[in-house]
Formats: sequence, structure tokens, C-alpha cells
Amino acid sequence: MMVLRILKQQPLHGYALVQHIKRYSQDLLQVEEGSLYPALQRLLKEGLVRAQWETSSTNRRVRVYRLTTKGEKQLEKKVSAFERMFRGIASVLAPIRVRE
Amino acid sequence: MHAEVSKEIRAHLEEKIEELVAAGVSRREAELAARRQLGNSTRVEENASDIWRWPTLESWIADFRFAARLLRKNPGFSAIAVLTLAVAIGANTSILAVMNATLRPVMPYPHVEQLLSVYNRNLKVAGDYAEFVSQPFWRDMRERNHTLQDVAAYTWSARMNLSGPGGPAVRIRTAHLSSNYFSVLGTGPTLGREFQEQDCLPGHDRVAIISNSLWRDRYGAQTDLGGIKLQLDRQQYSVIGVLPADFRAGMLADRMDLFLPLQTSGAEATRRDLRSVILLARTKPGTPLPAAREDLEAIAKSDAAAFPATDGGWDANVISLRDDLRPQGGVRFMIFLGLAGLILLVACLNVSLLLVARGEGRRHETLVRLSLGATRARLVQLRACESTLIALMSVMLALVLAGWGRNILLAYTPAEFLNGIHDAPLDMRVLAATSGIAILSLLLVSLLPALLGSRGDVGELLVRTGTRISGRLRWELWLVAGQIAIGLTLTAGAGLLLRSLHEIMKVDMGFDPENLAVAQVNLDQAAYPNDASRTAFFNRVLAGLQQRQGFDVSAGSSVPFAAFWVGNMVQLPEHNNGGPTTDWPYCFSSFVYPGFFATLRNPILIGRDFESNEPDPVVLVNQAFVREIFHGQNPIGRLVEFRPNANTAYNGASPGARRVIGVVKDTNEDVVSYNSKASCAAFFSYQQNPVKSMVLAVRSSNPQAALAAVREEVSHTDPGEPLVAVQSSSQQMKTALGPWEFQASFAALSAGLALFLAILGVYGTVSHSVRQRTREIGIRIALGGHPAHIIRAVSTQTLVTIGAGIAVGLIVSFWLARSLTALLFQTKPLDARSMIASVCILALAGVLAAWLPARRATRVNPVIALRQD
Repeated sequence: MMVLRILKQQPLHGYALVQHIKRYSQDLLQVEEGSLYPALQRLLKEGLVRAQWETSSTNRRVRVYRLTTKGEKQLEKKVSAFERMFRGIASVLAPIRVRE
Repeated sequence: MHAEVSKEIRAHLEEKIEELVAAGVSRREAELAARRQLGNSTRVEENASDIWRWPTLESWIADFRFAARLLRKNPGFSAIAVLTLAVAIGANTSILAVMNATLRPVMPYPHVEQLLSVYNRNLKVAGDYAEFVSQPFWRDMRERNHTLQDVAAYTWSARMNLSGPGGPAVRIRTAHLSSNYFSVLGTGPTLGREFQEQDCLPGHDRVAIISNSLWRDRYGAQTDLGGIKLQLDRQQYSVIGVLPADFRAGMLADRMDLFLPLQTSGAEATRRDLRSVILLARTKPGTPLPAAREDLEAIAKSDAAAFPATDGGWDANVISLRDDLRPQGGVRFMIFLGLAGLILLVACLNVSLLLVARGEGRRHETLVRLSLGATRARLVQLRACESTLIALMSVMLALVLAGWGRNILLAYTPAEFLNGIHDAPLDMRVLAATSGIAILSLLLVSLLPALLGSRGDVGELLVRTGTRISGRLRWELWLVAGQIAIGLTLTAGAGLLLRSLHEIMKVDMGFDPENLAVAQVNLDQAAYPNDASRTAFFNRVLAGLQQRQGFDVSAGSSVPFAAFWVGNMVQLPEHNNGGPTTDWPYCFSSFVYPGFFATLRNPILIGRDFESNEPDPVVLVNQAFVREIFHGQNPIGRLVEFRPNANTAYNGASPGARRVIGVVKDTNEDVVSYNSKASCAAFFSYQQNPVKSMVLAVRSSNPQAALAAVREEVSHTDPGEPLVAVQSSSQQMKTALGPWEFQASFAALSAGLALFLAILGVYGTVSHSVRQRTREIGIRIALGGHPAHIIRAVSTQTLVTIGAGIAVGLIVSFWLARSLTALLFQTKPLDARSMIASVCILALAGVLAAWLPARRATRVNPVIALRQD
């Protein structure tokens, strides 16, 4: 989901994706680099992203991943589900914080 | 795909390395760090590419190989499973093959779908009777139709005497054909020529086309047809054509020896009320049957309007030749197939049980796999592979077994069931059906254990210490109950058929078939034109035979099993109100010499036998006659009126009143042959009614010698006279009993097989439960548990299951028994005795099968049992 979220903002290649995830999560999330590529392939297969060889800003041949329409829809669905869950968790946790 | 991913990953590493180098790390260290971060790059590549792979194929192959290894490792199990299924599938296949060959008409004609049979239908008679049609009707059809290419007419005649050079006189089957018959049929003589129009006219009609077998066997396949001298009923005929060996006549009685031209002149050609031919029509290409039917029915309707006296109330009955020639006997085969199907079901349940039991044995393995992350689907897949392998091997073995089974069936099935076929090829239809059966059984066998075997949660692995988890056996118990139910159904069915056989063998035949030889003689009209010549012939033959030592000889026009029955309409004078004789009761008529009943040992119950030269017209009747005509009153001395039977061409006794002088016991050959009661019969003195066809009956110590003597005496008296149906009565009775014996033994065999499989199932389930509960049993024994209690503990569930199976089986039996009605004799479908016997057999066998392994449980050594895990 995170990958989709990032790709929604801008198309990226694998390495850049890792960097972005680190940056967005303020280094809280360490992406297992080894599991990124299988994950990307799975997204490709499901048609949520598409890939294209391009030249990067550092003049390197890289494979850039873009979100497809299907991917965007999927992201919408997941985000809203996640938000609902998150709201739920937050409302449960809120009173505890008050007592602090 | 793989290459792209690896290229991408290399690019990833390089970018990382450059970044690290830019941050001041040495290149070497940067490379190491980058690789560390990514992990095993090959592995990552593989994992990434795996996403794309068609996931199942390779795992299927792997599973198949694994399954094959498992089966090899456990040959006993595999052999039993494969053999059980193979026998069941093989049995079904062989029955299907024989059924397929038997019930399919053999019609080697071009465009057989264009061929129709046209009959008359008598609208005054209920039911779909096919009646012969008249020659004028044939001509109307031929001239006024719009849908046919042509219409031929044919009729089969009584048998004729064939004599002349080439062999002894024989009785042969003949048919008369219109000159266009072979062209309509699309096949004809391969040697010589077909009939032509003028062959059908008087003076030109002494021509014959003969069958290939007659030509080969009697005339040595001689190609000079002009040289064949052939006499039919003492008239000279010339042979003009010979049919090919595979010729089929395209009529119901299709095994004809000789064909003659149909007479198209004289009374039959012009009279509309003489219905003596059947029509064979060929439609124009592409004409559907309903269109042709409509066309011909319209012609029949206009005929009915034009000739109300003769054609009113008659309609055309048009059916496809395929339907016309479709052999009978489907019901019987369906029942046999049903029995075999039940066997297959039991076999499938058994193999399922085996697989489930073995699945339980591999429960530990399954749980380990589950805990290591195997999906349930994957486990089901593995089991399915195993079952598929078993099913595949079974089918291959089954095809071999089916070949044997078919041969055995062909050898033992009574000829009358087989409709004259000699071979039952395992052709595409049979193989297709077998594959269907195999797939069905595969599904049954594989799905159950696969679904059951893959259940289980990982936690079980941790707490598993050999204690039985309750409910584990539940599914197996269902399977066992199913087997018991089917076993009971089959046993009950077999019981009914065995009871029928027993009943039919108990039937009092009313005469003694042992050591009785019978031979039929048909005198032809040309050589024996009058009563005096016929009487002289039979008197001479009988006198000649009576001179021989140890022969008790007599003659009558019909002997049980060797009858040429004719009949009369019959009425008591006091009931004769002058109404039409067609409304009178009907009786069979037989013409006998004095001493006939004594020779047959067919007792005269009251009254006396004929004497030579009876002065007055007299008659003997059978018990059925007394019951039906005299309503059980004493008939001796009373008069009975006889009239000819208007419905047949054969004449019975001459019309007139006769006085009853005796009552003979009913003979029950019809009971055995057709499952019908003895018919009304009257016996006339031969001397008062000399007929052409008589059966010579000889009782002696050696029926074969007697038959030889009869043959000798007949040909000595007249070498042109053939004998037919030369047999001993006991042999004929055996033939008649054949179908009863066959169906009973077939059902008994099926039941035995099902019983055996069901018992195997019960035995296997209880032993399995004992094995599973070894530890518990050990504890019980260690604590002083009584053996009886232990037996009870391990077998109660199974016994309850057997009970349930029997209950279900009883219900199914009650329900299915009715479908056997057609095959039963004096046995009700709900025969209490067979049912009770079957229940006892099943219950006893089931209890025994449960008790044996249960007893083993009491011998469990507690020390060993407790140390087991």
C-alpha cells in the first residue's frame, strides 16, 4: 500500500522507492530491500503498476514504475479501509491519552 | 522476465554503491554494505521471478512424482486400491461393451437415416401395434408420395423345406421381396443379379437369391449359379444371386437363408383387406422423418376415406428403420448395469476409506507441512495426485479385465439375451463411457479423502500425544455406513433373484423332460397334399420306431418346448348366442396320437386317452381350459364348440362341436420360458385332424441314440423330409432355465463382491480405530480394564454405523426392489424372507468384521503402548 501511495505522487524506480519510503516514514520504517522486488513484481502481475525502462536524473538506465488506473482505485480502497481502521484504533486509544 | 529483474537489481546495487561512495565510504565496503542490505541477490531475483511463473504446473508434476513414490513405497496398499477399482470399472466396462453390441441394431446400409419402415396401425385397437399392410396400400404409397425415393415391400414366410443335391433336406427361413428391395436397401447380391419386375409374375417366379452361408456350406461356393439344383417344398427353383457374407436383411427376422420374389399378381395384389407385406422406404435426401410421416399418413387418410370398408380405421405407422430394428432387452441390461454400478460405488467408498485411513497415518506429516506454511489447497492437490494416479492405473488394468470379463459374459450370457451377436468390441462408445465412469469414481475417491485429510490445525501438532481426537472417525463411519447400505441392497436383490430361481426350479413341469427326445417334421403340401398321405407317412415312421427295442414312441403337433402351436376360438354351446367368433375365448390346439400323454408322462387327471379310430368327435383339455372355459366344473362328457381362429393364417382344428373325454395336467413350459401361466389348450385326435407338422417324441434310456433312430427312420420313409428342432426335452428345459440361472448368479456374484468390500471396509475402520487408540487402550488395560469393555469401547461406534447402514440399505432396497419385478418369478419385490436373510447376513458379517480387530485391542501390551510416542 505504501508503495502504491508513493507511486501515486510520482513514478519512481526501485532504488528511489526505497529512499522515498525511508524519507516518508522518517526512517521509522526500514524497507527490506530484498522483499521490495518480489512485491513490485506482484503489483506488476496484478496490473496495479506498469514498468518502463527510462534514463534517470543520474543518467542511469532504470526501470520506472507507474501507477495504473486500476492501481489508483485499489489504493483508494485500501486507504479508506485503513483510515477507518485507524479511526477506530484512535478512538479506542484517545481516552487513555486524556488520563495521562 | 528473469533477465529484466536481475538487470534491475544490478542497477539498484550500483546506485546504492555510488551513493555510499559519494558519502565517503570505500568502494569495497560500499559493495559489501549494499549486498548486505539487499540480501541474497540471486534469491531475491528468483523470488521476484517466481511471482510470474504459472504456479501450478510444476508443483503438479512434483506432486505426481511424490505420489508415485508414495505408492511405490507401500505396494500392498497400492495394489489393493488399484485392484478394487479396476475390478469394479472392468465389470462395468464389460457389461457396457456387451450391452452396446447387443442393443445396437446392425445396419450396414448407405444413408441408413433415410430408411423407414411403414406399417399399418389399427385405430380400433389400443396401443401402438405394427400391422402388415396390403399391396394396394403399397402401390398408393409408391405412386402418391412426395418425400420418398422409393418404397419396397417384403414379407417373411413360414419356413420351407429345402431339398435336392448338396446335402440332406433342411428347413430354411425364407422371405419374399419386391423387385426394388435391394435398391431401396442400398445393398444386394454380389454374385449374380437382383430380382427384376418380371420375376414377380407367375411363371417367372421360380428364382431365388441365397445367403452367403447357404451358398458356402451347401453348395461349396460354386460360382456357376446355373449349376445349382435347388428344391423348395419339392418345387424346382433356379438360383440367380448370392448375397455377401455381411448382408443383413433390414427386417426384424433378419437371418434369412433364402429370398424369393414377392408375388405381385393374384388376390393379394388387388385386395385391400389382405395385409401381408411390410414396406421399406427410402426418403429423399434431407427429408426429416416427421415430413415423410406426415406425407404418408395423408395418403393413408385419403385411402381410408376412399375405401372405408377395407381401409377405414387404419392409419400409416411410419418409424425409422433404426427404431424398428432396435433390439429388445434393454431393461435387463440396465438392471445388470445398475448392479455393476453399485459395486463400483462400494469399491470407490472402499478406496476412499483406504486413503482416509492412510491420510490419518500421515497426519503428522500433514500437520508439519501445514505448520511450515503449506496452504490447504496445496495439500488437497497432493492427495488428488495420489488418487488420480491410482485411478489411472486402475483404468488401465480395468481395460484388460474388461476384455476378459466381456469374453466371460459372451460365453455365459444366454443366447436369447445377446440377440445373436458373437463379439462385443471395446469401441469408442464403450471407451468413452468407461472414461466417464473412471472420472466419476476418481472424483468420488479423491475428493473425500483429500478434503478430510487436509483438515487439521497447527496447534494439534504441539499437543499431539497419540490421544484420539473425538469425531475423527466420523467421516469414515459415513463411508462404512454407505458400503453396508449398498451391500444390503445388492444382497437383497440377489436374494430376490435366487428365490425366483428356486421357485422356478420347483415348478411342476407337468411332464417328464428327462430322457425324452423330440424331433419336428413338417410335411410339404406338394408331396403330401391330403390327409391320407400324411397319416400314412406318420403311421409308417411311428411303426418303424416302435419296432425298435426300448423305445416308447408317440407323436403330437406340439410338445412342451418344441411347439408349433395353432389355435381355435372356443365356446360352450350354451354360451353361443350367435355373436361373432372373434369375441370367443381362444385356446391352443394340439393334435396327438393315442399314447402321447403316456409317452410324455403328462398325466390324464380324469377321463381317458384317445383310442385308435374314435367313432365320435372327441377332445381332451388341460386344467387351464377347465378353469377358464368350464369355470372349474367337471367337463367330462360335455360338448365344446370350436371355430377357426380368424386372426392367423394357420388353421387349427376343423370347426364343430366335440365331446370332452379327459383332462390332462397343465404343462408349465411357458412359466419357465416367458414367466407366464399355462395357457388354455385342447387336444384333438390326430386321426380325426391330420396336420402337416408333427413332433415325434421318443422316450428311451439314451436320447441321442433315439434322435439318430428318428433321423434314420424319417429319411428311410422319405429322404426329402427334413427334421427340425431335434433335441432332448431336458436340454430344452435347461436352455429355458438358462436366463433365470444367469440373472441369479450374476446378482449373487455382485452381492458377494459388494459384501466382501463392505466387510473389508468395516474391518479396516475398526483396526484403524484400534491403532489410533493404542495408548488409551494401554492405559485402560494397565488400570485393569476388562477385555469386554475394551471391545465395546472400540467397536460400539462401528456397530452403530453398521446398524445405520442396514437401516438405510433396507429403505433403499424396498425402493429399488420394484425395478426388479420384471425378472422375478412368484416372488414379491418385498419378499420378507430374502430381506430378513440379507439383513442377517450383513449384520453377522459386519459384526464379525468389527469383532476381529476389536479383539486384537485386548491384547495390547500396556507397557509398549504407553512408551509409543
